[in-house]
Amino acid sequence: MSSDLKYKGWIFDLYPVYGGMRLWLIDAAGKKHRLFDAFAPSFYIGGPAARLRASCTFIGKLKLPLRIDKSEGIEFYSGKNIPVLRVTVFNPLHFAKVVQWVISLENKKGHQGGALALYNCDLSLPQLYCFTKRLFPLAFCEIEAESNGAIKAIAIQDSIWDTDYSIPPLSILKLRMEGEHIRPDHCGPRPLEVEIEGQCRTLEGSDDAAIVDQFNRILEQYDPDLILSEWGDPCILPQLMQSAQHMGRPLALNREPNKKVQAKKERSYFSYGAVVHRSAARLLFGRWHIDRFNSFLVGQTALEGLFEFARLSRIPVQQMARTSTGTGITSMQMDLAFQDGILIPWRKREAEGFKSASQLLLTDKGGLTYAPILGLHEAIGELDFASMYPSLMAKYNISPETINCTCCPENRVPEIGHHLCKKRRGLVPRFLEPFLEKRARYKHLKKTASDPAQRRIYDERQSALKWGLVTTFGYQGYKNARFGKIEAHEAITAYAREKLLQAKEIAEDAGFEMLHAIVDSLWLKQVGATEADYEALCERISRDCEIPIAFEGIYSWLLFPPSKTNPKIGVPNRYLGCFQSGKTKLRGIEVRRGDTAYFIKKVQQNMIDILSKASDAQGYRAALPEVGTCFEKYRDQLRSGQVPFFELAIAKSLSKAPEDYQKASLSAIVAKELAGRGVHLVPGQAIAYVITDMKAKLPSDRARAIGFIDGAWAYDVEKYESLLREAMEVLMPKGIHLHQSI
Amino acid sequence: MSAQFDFDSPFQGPPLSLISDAKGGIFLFYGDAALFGLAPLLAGWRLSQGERVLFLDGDNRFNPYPLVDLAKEIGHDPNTFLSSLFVSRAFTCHQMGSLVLNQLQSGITAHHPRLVILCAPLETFYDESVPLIEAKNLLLHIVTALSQLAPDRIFVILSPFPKKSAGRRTFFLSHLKTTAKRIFRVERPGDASEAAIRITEEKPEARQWVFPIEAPRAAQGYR
Repeated sequence: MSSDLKYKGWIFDLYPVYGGMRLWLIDAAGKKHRLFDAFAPSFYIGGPAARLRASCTFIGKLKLPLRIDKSEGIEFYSGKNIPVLRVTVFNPLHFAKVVQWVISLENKKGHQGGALALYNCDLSLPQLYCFTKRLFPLAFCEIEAESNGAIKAIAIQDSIWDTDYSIPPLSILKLRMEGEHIRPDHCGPRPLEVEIEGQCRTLEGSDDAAIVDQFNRILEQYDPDLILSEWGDPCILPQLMQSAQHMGRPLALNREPNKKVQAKKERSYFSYGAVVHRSAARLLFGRWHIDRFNSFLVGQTALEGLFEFARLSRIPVQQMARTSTGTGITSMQMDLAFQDGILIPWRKREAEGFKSASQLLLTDKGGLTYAPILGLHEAIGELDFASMYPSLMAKYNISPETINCTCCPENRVPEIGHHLCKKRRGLVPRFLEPFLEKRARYKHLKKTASDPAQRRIYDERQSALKWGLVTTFGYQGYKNARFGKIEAHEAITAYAREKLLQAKEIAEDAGFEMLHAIVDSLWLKQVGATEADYEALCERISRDCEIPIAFEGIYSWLLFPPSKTNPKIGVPNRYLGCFQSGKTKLRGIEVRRGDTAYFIKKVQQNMIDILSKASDAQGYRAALPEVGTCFEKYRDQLRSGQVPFFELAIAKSLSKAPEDYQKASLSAIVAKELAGRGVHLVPGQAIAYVITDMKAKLPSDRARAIGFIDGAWAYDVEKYESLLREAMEVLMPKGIHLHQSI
Repeated sequence: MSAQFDFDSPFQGPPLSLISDAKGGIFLFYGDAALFGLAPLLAGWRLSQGERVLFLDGDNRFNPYPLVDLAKEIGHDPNTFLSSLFVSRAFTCHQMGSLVLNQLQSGITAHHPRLVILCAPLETFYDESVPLIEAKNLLLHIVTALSQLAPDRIFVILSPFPKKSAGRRTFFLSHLKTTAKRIFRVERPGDASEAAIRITEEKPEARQWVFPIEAPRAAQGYR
């Protein structure tokens, strides 16, 4: 009689253990199943035969259970099969050690660097496992296992391309500090707050041991699948774990017995010219911990966007929460390469080919941007190329291995002289096709869904895909992108410039006047033009440009405000408008900026709400006195000193360590204040402060950290009033000044 | 020994007089931001002779505009200058490795340059995500490859002072020093007018030159 068991449910967590992978499954009843799947990962080594023979001998010295055999795989750039050695490691826990051992051979004295090429060696083990077994996080499946949990077979009943999938019934514990959302180490002590099954409680106790005990009891009682924290990564979990250790108290954060919580170090790095900080991380085993303030995806697209990306990328949910969308899309591309038998190169090595300085001047450009025609306009139509850069990559086969191929020199990229392969479909376009199609399906589902909750889910998922698409382009020029090449980046922007110019000419030929255009969007005007006219124009542009352009709508009014530094010109990405549907579109103004105080945002939004009732430019002007009244109301509130500090906090990212600031900028003053209080600050980290006295002689009196400001301080009314005035003035059309409208 | 220069032609005096007699070899100029003012001057020196120049860029520093200014200043066609200087940018140390170990030879074969400029090659090696030992060994391979190519042409390495964030990797500069035939330290002198460059020879002799940055104009703003 067979003692095998069958389970149906969702793959919840995956991580390597001795001899294989631990797989946690959650069934429809919310029950957790801890299973084991034997797994022997492989990586590959290429290079001259003599070097390969030497590496065989060298690996043998490790005396670990592994197998080395001859194999072959496709070299990414040439598309040709090459002979390689396959190294299969029988215990996944040895995998990294074996890879490092081979790398150390490259570093040996007297060895010619670069002779050996490693492939598939730096994928994470859960990724490699999912690629090999065609699994993915949160996949619904049926598993046949022995009574000891050893998996015999997994049948997936789900697809990463499904749009109407379900997720397991998760029990969620929310963990945060009481009060405002201030980072715990940037303010004084506050009690811990825990919310589970709709109940919120504050953990209070005479000492740290009591808090740890209470928290551990909650974990045991409710056994949550997900700890969703605010600042859990850098502060709360490390503090709880440290207290538990010091006091000798149990703290069962993991479900997996005898496994320590995984700690990842914080780091700062440059991205698009700015310093970005990634907090330290605390990852659990058999349970998820997600810090919503340490996750780009959760911040932008909520949990639904995160789940969507984890499924597509085959990266476990906790890791995906803490990684970039770029890493996610790279994982999707690596999976495609893996399925095709393409060897995934370790480390990006291909440098840019030599090009003359005149060629560089020609090719090293971005998208095309026009200066907007300043002022208030009405009855303006907006047309946007849908996912322009990814669509171009898919349409023209732009990919690192197809750009400047050896076989198709005649297939030229406009303007810049690069060429593209017509014989071999590129990896990036192949990855993009279903990705673009899935996002289009989500957008359609969002439009047609009648249930608001379902509509929100579709929106969050499509938004996650949008971020993936944005990154796909950026990664072509990113130094560490596995499947990126600067020449491909240049080809994309060259096509984009060509398409925008083409669209402008078509529109002007059809009698439209162009007021503004940025990269993939055009703002057009034609007296009396209807939605049908714009739709017809879109159809013509889509047909002639060979990529789809969509009609966004007609604006009742649209304002291009002048630049603050030069009032004669506009700023390309700074405008506000209201569609005839009543929906507003705001770019580059205070309400959209991350470093605007909540109070200023709130007031500006109120003003925009007033203006959004106007159905044309005349109505807009007529509403300005009401905007002035709104300004006066909140200005008086400011002057009365009644605005809470928290509403006036301004958030900034540090560009350097506190001690490296030379000038007494407000960020520098507050960074030094926090550092003086023992707060550990690194470049890229965010701080928040209230301006107390901008003109104070003593720099430390000019601003205070939000977490430590108290009743002894007052905010700088004059400064905040000037910020409020600026937020109002940006809404004033050219020629209308404050005294005229109030 | 210190000398003041005030010269009419951009190609008189240092830094060009320091290297112009050499048939080949590695010349290391390291220092502060003043260093990058030398790049258009060095390139222009060979471009004005109708030669081609290779520029290997480790910090996305290449700026064509000072070169255009220089060409105009000395009565040459800027387009000829721009079409005769060949640039390749590396953004990681592995790319820099591939550029020097795999691509440089074919660039030399194609363009026959007498001068190859390596601009800020160490910047890519300061990336902490690459293990120190791996970065160090790759750098040693590069240095060996350059030494092998150097007898027949001039390699000028422009290497800024290591950043604070370079941490333990500041010693990478010493690997470049070991392989260089001559070493010059380049700075804006703090005690003199700001518009001056001081070049101090460290190897083989100890000498010093100061020259005004106004002449030539092209030696200004190189990002």
